[in-house]
Amino acid sequence: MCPDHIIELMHEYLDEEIDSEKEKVLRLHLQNCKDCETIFNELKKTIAFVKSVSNMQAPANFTANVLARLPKEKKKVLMTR
Amino acid sequence: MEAIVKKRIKQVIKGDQDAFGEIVEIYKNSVFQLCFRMLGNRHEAEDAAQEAFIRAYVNIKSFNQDLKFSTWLFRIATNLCIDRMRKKKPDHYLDADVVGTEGLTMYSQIPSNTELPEKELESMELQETVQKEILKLPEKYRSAIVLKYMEDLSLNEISEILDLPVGTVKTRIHRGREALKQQLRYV
Repeated sequence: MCPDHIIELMHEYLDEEIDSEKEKVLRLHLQNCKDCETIFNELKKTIAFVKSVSNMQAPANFTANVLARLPKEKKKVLMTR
Repeated sequence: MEAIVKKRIKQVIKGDQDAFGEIVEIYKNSVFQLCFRMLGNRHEAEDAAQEAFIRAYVNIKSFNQDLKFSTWLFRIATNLCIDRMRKKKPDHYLDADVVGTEGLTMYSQIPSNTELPEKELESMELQETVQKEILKLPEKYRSAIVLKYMEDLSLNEISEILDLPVGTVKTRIHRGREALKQQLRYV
């Protein structure tokens, strides 16, 4: 079993918050540990997948529909729910 | 971008609804995406996203103009989605303990070793798979992951939107990543 702190370092790396000393420790470990290398690659792949589904478009007429639903007199409509 | 938005906000406060339309145009895709990833249904997402903008409009005077408008808007939208998710009251949560087991959660009950054929990164099937796995995340991990990776926000912004310390946001993103990794490793 690989040490938990290596997993922690992977997350720090993925958050782009790792310092150079810790990054060295992580790289050294990854070079010598197949299991951790696999975990690290899977984490990176997961992020790539999640990012790949972004950039959605709002439905057509979205803005017009919002404007149509705006209260005419603001003061009368406070909270709808 | 923020400068134009601030100008429009001042016009909205004076009663100019068209200026609000311009604000909606700028943020509609992000807000719709946020709602869709949280709720998982286009119709519900559209309704929630519209409501988020309406709430922003109705409460625009309470917006502190020294702050970033998008942060405030995303906060309204996220809270609204979380409210709606809670109202749906599913009969089980994925991170709830399975009755009669110790520490075994629904995550471990979902078969994750079914190999799927190689697919292209942008394919519809992959999109659906990723969306499905995001929807399996408990709400607290889901919101953090969606804001981080779909809206591409910084940890500080996410912490403001969710009204949580940065450390908590990090933990949620880490756990979310771990859970998604388990589900997506064979894709």
